[in-house]
Amino acid sequence: MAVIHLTEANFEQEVIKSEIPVLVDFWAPWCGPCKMLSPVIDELAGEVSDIKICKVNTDEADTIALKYRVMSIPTLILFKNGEVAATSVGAKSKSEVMNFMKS
Amino acid sequence: MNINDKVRRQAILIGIFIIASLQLCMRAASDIRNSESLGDKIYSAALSHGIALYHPYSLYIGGIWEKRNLTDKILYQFYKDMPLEMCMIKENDSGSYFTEYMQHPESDAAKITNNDSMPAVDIQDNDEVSEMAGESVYQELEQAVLAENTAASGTFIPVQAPVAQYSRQQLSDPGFVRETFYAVDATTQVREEQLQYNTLMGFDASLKQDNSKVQILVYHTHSQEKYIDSTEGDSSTSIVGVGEHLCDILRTQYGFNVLHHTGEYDVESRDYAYSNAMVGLDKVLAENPSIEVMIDLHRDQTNADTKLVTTIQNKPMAKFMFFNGLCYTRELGTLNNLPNPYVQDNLSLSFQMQLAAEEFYPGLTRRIYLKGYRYNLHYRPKSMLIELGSQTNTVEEAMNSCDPLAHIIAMVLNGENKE
Repeated sequence: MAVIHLTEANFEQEVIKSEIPVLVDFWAPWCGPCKMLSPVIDELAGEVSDIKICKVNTDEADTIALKYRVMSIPTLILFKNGEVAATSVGAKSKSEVMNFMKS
Repeated sequence: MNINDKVRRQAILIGIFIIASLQLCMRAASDIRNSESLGDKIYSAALSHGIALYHPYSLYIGGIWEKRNLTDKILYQFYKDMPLEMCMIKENDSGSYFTEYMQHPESDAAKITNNDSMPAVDIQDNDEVSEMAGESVYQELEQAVLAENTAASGTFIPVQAPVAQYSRQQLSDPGFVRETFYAVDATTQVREEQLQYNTLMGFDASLKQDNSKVQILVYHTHSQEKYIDSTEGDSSTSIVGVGEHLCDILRTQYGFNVLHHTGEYDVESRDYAYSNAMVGLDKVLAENPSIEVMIDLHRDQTNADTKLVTTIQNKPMAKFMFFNGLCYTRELGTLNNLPNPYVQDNLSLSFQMQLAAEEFYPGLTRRIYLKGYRYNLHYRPKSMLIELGSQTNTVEEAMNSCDPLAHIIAMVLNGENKE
């Protein structure tokens, strides 16, 4: 499943109304640690089918970041049934992200 | 052999040499002229090494051409066969160039593209480049993970680079700083100018003296504070024992000269503990005027159901909290009887520690707590009060936290947090 790039226009449809859990990676181009996490997220997107993998560029969709109180990035938020199920701040290894997706 | 024979023989040799040389030159010229793939080959080589070989073309065409000299004329035959048109088209389709460049940062291509005469290229806006750059830092992450796996065997590995980042634009907003980093007690208030990012980060927290004399003092105004599984009567399992562990790490791993003052000021009562501690502190500072940093290490008291714990490198760690006194209460205003000329410096120091903690060990710290009184933070600009865990934490959790705490302290006192 390819990574879905979220905007304020498609966030509702792709995340809130999603029938499967959604992992959202909040990132920005200026963020070094985000570049560490990005390939991990891309790799996972190609491997998992039961969780939707999305990214939010906080510079372009700051209202989403604000709504979910994303202060520092990268931040991963796992949504289940449109609700925040878990939040994690900081770059992580693939195994850590996989564990986070199980939370 | 007469003279005529000699001359004839030399003339023949010279003639043969000239003919051979001419043939060689003609063949070389013919090879160059007829080698239609030469430019392609060079161009391909340019592609395979990134943008490097495009650079001399543009230099030649753009600058030297009009001022050509004999060398230029000789080279003309070479250059005119270059597929310049194709080269320019490809140059506009630049993604692959810069991607290649990013993959091989140590290559000659990278060195040449750093040349000032190269057209400026904004690679920051290139998503493809960013992702490839991410690939190289991904290797760093893998190393960090490796370190983490190593850490699973028991050894703490200080994190070498930030794993999370705040937007500098957001940090320049005192409202964001206050909401994100501070919990302000209802009895006091903090002014906006006290939380200006440039002021907070502008404070030079680096140590000014070497470790030939005492640099850091660790003490405990409340020495009787214990953890959930502390052994009664055994100070090595109380906040004092945790303080000793912190001192040990600061000494052995970071090379600081640290004094652990274990004076007790709250045995009979916690009332007046800060006033009582001043007697001991005055004496210690008089004996060790070189002390630049004072750390009053506490253990917090929270609700019984509050568990301040996080996991770092597979170890449970007690969360900690920096604490500042503002010498200002809503009821009394500025507390002139408890002056502290270093309130702003104290704030800057704890903020720098907090920011480093949040960027290197997200989730390890609670928000900085601001309260109204002085708490003996007036002795030095670099005075700190830290609440390490609470009564619901275990001794092990508190001890474990000393590793990242010492790393954070070392980063700030060495000025590494601003690099």
